Amino acid sequence: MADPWSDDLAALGEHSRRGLRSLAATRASVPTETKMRFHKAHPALAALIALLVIGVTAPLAYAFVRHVLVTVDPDKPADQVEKDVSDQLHAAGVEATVKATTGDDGQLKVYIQSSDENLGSDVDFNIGGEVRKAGQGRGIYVECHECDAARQTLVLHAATGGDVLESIDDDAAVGPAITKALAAQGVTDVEVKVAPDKITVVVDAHPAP
Amino acid sequence: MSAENPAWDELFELLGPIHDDVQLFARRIAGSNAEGDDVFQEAVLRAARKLSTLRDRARFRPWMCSVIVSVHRTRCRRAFFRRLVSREVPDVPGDDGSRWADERASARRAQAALSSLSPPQREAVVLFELQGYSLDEIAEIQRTSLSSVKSRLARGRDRLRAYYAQLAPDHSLTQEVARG
Repeated sequence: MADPWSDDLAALGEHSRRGLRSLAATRASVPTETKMRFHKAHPALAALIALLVIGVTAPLAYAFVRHVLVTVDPDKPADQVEKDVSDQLHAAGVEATVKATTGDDGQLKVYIQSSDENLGSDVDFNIGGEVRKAGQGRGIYVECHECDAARQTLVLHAATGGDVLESIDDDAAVGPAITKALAAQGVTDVEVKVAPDKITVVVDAHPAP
Repeated sequence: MSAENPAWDELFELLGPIHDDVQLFARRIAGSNAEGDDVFQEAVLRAARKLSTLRDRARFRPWMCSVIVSVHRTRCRRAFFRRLVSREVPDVPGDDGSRWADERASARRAQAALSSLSPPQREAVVLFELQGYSLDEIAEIQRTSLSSVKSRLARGRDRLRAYYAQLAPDHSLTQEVARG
């Protein structure tokens, strides 16, 4: 006796043949990758931005950091991703605080906060088989000299807030956005250096009285 | 395009003999033909980038199916995408209205039933039932064990059975009304 879905599956099989594209049409429909922006060429990964946030406190620590490959399963809930990444970094001997969040648009962001200034260039993310640098090659490094924990947290949150992240790919806009966000928190002694691979925020201010 | 990137020429040379088969696979696991075409297009892009990782060109067919599986799952994960994806099977104009209408209704029912399965189960059922792949081939495509494939097929069939059992009264009623 046939399964009750046999006829329907057969119909689906036929229906899926309607208007099938030819090889030439497929080739014509696929845009040239080199002309596409990253998020267009990698639509699956556009929703999986791994943002690296390094908080470096003075005195700077000198540590030998080996290459760390962190595997992220975006199928898991944010708290599980957080734990997985944290465990993998810990297993690699990297002391870091990890925070993962999923926005309303499904975008997963992984924040890694560490006192190791070399961490950024040594962390790759493996997301669904695609290996890429943390922060798409542009992490935000925050050097908060002589800051206490509370001030460091305040600076980190301000320097990586929504307005900053929105302009993180715009060299001209990201610096002023960070300065403005920090100024709103009363942090004015700030230097922002924008480079292709990272954005460095140096805060020399002393703890607020 | 090809002059800038020779990988494209090799990719489409490999893709030629299996083009329709893998495109059909993408359409059948997606919610509609249009959605399947998007999955396939994205998979072709991804395949072009990763072709250098394929050591044995003779294994291109299962490898390409694996890429489609990967793209499909990534899309399924995205909550916002799930909200946007229509699982409706779009109307396709044809020369035989009644026959095509029946086919569309059946296809729509099959899509709805398949959408009640998890992506791995859906892929396994489509690969086995519609694409005619063996269990070993499905295991290679899904990059999992043979026992996992068997489990996915068994659970997928259980879910399909449950779906059709729930559908049975309405389905029968519809058929009775149609008979007039």
